[in-house]
Amino acid sequence: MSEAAAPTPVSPRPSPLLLSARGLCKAYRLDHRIVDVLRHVDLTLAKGELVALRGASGAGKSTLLHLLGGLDVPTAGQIWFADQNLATLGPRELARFRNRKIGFIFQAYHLLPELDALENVCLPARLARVPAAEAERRGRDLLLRVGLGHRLEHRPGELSGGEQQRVAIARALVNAPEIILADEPTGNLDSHTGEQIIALLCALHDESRVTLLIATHDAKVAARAPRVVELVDGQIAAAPAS
Amino acid sequence: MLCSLANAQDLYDLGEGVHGLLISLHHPEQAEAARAELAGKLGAGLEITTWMEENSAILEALIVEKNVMFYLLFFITIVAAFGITSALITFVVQKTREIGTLKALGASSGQVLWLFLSQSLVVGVVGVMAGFGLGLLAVTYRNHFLRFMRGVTGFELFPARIYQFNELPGLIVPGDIGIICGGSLLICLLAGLAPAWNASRLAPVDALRHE
Repeated sequence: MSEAAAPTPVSPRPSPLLLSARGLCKAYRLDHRIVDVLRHVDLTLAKGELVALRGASGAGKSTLLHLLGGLDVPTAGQIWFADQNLATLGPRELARFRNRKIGFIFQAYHLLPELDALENVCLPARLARVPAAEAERRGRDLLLRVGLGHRLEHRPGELSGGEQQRVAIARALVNAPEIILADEPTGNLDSHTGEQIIALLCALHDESRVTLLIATHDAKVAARAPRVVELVDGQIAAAPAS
Repeated sequence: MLCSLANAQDLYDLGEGVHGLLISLHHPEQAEAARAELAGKLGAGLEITTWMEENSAILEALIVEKNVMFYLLFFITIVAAFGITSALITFVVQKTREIGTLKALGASSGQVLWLFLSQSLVVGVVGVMAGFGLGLLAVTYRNHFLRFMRGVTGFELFPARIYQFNELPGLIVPGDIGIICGGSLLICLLAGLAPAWNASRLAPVDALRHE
């Protein structure tokens, strides 16, 4: 990160480190062949930061997000979330970590088709054993914030792609996570709806200062982030300072 | 040949005596207790036989039939349990992506296991309740059913000339009902255990990528 050259009366306090990946490698076995998807990736995210992870399709963006979110385990390397090494967490603790600390937003939304919008949003809270009334209150507030107050009882099949992604965003926020990992959140949307979704994510980030990592192959989406990390063939190519 | 008791006593020169007495009970299953009571009161020198001893061959055949029926029904329950297993395996495969979503949202393996196990529990409870109700109904109206079947098909399911019973006797034993209902529920739960376990062990990333 670049230092500010001009003298200031009060120097800004650096944000504490929230997430740090060191020497991350991920390899898959495919037909007796080893495919290296990630190769010695180092990445740090400060608390409250908004970062775009840019890369072509197949560059390893989704794999990196899955590793950072505790959905998968690296072949080599370490992931530290605050002072916690994810490798030391057992399956139950890892599930709890995903539930309380991470909010996932997927390209394909991944809403449960049997549940309505409100129930989908409340789901992570119910998994965290938050009482139903409190979970519902949070769900209603969040759906209002993402502009879906009139769609509470609509099932995913009755919602447009943009609306489904808004529900997914509300769901990601329901347990007040410390970081949101958005994997190509506009990938299934037309450009106009995609812009609205990115604007919504940026607004929510500004509002709540939640750390936000957006994986995208779209340069326009990446341009909205103060910091862009480029992933090329499983390696960090550049991390330009803002 | 039928004649009066007095003529028969004259004929056999029995005076006031008789060759034997036939005693009818309101509760035929209490024959053994009635015999013990009679033996105590009448003393030695008299032979007392129950209807069960006199029909021992047919009753043993009925016991064998009952045992065969037990094994048949047990294996039918096992086949039904495989049906539950098969349905749940299909359901787990269909819902693999949703399982991945649940795990990504923080569901523990235990929560996913319970989610699927509770499905087989619901199937089991509904099945046991339906079976309990229909079973009691069938036992209560068994003779109506036999008469209905005879009227419709002309076929005697329980011929009196073979079984020596005018009607199909039945006894509802609460303990037996408890064992049957509890056993069926347990079999349903065991049938759901393997698919539920598989669902709970799915890796989140693999489940999310499932097509």
